[in-house]
Amino acid sequence: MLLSVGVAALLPYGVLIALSITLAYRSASEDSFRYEGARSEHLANLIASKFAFFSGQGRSLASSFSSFSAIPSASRRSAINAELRSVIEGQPDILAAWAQWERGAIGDSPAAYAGSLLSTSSGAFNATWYRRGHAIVQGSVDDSAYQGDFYLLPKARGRTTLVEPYPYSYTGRKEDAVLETSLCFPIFEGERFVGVLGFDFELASFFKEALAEVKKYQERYGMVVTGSGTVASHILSEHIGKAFTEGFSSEEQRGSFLALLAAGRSFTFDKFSPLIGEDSRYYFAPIRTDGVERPWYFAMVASKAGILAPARAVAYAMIGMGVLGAVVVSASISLASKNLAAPFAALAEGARRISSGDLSFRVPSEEPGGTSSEALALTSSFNAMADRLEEILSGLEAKVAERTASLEAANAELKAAQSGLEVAAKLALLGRLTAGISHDLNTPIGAIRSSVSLSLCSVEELVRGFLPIYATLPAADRALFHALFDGGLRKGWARPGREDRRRKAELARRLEAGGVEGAWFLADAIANLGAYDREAEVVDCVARGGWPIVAAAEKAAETCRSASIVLEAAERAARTVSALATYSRGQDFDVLEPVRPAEDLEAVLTLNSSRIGSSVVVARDYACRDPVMAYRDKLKEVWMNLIDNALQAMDYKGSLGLATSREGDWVVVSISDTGRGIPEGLRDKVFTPFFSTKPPGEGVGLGLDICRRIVERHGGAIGFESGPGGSVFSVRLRASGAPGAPPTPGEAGA
Amino acid sequence: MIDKAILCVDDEALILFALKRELKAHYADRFAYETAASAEEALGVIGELETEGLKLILVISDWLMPGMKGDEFLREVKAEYPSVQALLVTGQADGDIIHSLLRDGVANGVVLKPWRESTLFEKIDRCLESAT
Repeated sequence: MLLSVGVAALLPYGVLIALSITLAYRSASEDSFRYEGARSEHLANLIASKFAFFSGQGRSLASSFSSFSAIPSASRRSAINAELRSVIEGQPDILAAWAQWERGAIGDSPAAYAGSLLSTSSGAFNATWYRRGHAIVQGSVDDSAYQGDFYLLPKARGRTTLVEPYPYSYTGRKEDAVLETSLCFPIFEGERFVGVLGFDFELASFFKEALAEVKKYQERYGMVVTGSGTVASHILSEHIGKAFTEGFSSEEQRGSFLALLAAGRSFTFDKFSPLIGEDSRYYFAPIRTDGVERPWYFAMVASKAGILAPARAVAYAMIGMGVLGAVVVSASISLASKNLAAPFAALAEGARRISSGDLSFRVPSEEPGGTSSEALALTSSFNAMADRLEEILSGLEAKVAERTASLEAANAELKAAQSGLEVAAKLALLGRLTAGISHDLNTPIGAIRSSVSLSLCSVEELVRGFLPIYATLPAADRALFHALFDGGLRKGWARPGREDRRRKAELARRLEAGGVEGAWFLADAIANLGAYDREAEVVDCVARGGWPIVAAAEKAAETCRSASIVLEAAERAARTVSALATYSRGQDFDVLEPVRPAEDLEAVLTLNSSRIGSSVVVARDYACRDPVMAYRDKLKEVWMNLIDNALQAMDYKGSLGLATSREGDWVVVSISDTGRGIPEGLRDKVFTPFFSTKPPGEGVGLGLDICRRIVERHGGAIGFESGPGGSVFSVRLRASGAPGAPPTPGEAGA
Repeated sequence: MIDKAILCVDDEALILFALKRELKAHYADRFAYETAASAEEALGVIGELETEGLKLILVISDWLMPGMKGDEFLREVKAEYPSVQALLVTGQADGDIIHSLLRDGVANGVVLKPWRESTLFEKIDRCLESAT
């Protein structure tokens, strides 16, 4: 009898417990699924903002191109070319930046641009820069560029277009092809369509941040699918470019999936994932970007069991407590003798209230009417269970709220960072540019101003003050004047080193000890004139009142030196300006011609013979006389810069090595010095624009950067080795006729 | 007898030569004039001057040099020889650096490249006056 009462009382309790467990489990699982959905939307937004950044940059660049229309076509071509190069340099995500112009839009001429990388075979303007390894290389395209979606679509639509994934090879070789997409911008002049600007992105790498973010958690992965269902990115690269629907077994499934894609909203479906090996949920979140008729999607695939793991933990905890509760109840029943109905009615009511969501409800301990200890125990264990339940659920809620808040904060941060990014980068470059230019121009200008104003006075003093004295001098004094002047000229304006200083100080002390007046000043003059071997004569002459003779010799020699300083400084300023012009112009429209590096090295050497002087030995080793196809003047600029650097590195004293050799398809030109070498910490910076160690006598921070640009423009490479005994800079250029070499003029039109 | 020295520091040989020539033409045998191509070399020269019985009274230094920059160099000199006057010569007017150098008394004046002779000597004279 008692047992049947117990079972009858337990039954509703059990049903209620089961019901509340189910409800809580469902609510926790919904939270988990919702959270994963929010996460995939967040990552889709991350990708969208990346596209938005490039889209903004592309649109403003395209509109700036049309505003170049006022300048002559040749400079316009080079200005556009330089812009593209600087875009790709600043943005590692961009695989290629290019502009293809309509035929005839910018003064085409097959004859004028034959052999130039800057035109298609018909002479229409094309500028293409792409990344090959770490290098940025100028590419060339033929007229088939007019047939690609990347040209036809933006032209037909008249607006920004993101094209479907396609394979492309910048070298024309099949094995170099990469799967990519292009963000393309039509260029207009007024109403007239004149061409297309495009940024190419390599699919395997462009989305890697978002994919990596998903991969942080187990049993899930991410992918990107275009609006028409092509996989644009995937953790397994072999899936890229394939249709996502390949994984569906029926036509019906394919159809409904494509319909969901076309709707342009977030959606999910469940499916077995072969990659995860479990029943999984697929979250598709649209990437909201311009340039597409149907948005692309970021998709996250996650094992359902993995998603539900936290919710299941809650359910297990509740089942455990339910069993505990049942045990307590049955124990109480078997022991209780009376007043059974009242406490159970209260507990049943409590269970109902809790299961309907009122987690704060507790059974009052005095309600059971009687004061039987069993009823009290039952009530308190029921309340304890309710406490624990509330605790778990509120903990879960807090967790979801916390994660949502952190997602929102990340989104806001992303947006703020983006708008500041572009402006900051531009300002930084402008600052660096201005600082570099003002230093490189102000230094020679300062030297010129100072030298010239002094020379004016000196010449006047010499003519008015010294010439009349000179006429009256005995022959020996005249001879001394000429000897001192010649010595001063020979000395040039090399700066005295530590040894010279010591020698001068020693002389000054000796003269002082000998009672010579103005000993330091005299010692300085002797040092300045390089006249240590005439010390006795000079001292004697000064003692006889001949100081004006020594002073005049010094003044005359220094005036000559000043003139050579002016020359050097003007040269330096001119080189800075021409370096800047090269920098901003990007490329001249010189003609490619066969060039023998050895001959040009000699030409540069001859030009600089006055600067090289007698303390430098030139060691020649021209083992290779093969020609390379090159822009002659540009390449000469490279030799000029490298020889200049070599001379400065060894303070114009030592051995300058010039060598050419053949290594397979390459002609290698090496320029070496026996100087101090490049300090280890600076070696990776030497090719950075505006970086300069400014060794004495030079300050252009663009030299090696320009060399690198020129060499790369020829499809070659530049590198160096450096140690305490000196440096060797090597330039590798493809021998004329070797594969990959710039075309010879005859081939260019073909 | 010369017992005071002026030291010019610039990594540009052009500038050093021009500066020294200007100083020599202007002050003749009032001072000994020394040059150094870097802050590091200059610190060595300063040490040697003492042993040669010359008292360094003025340093004229470039700001942008490889290795130690002019501001750091002058701070070091001033810490060691507080009575030495210092002029900073620079082609890049970075207002903040100049301001802080002048405020801290690390530089007693600043000359912008390209300088005019009159401005240069006006500033040098002011330094020399406070030195004596």
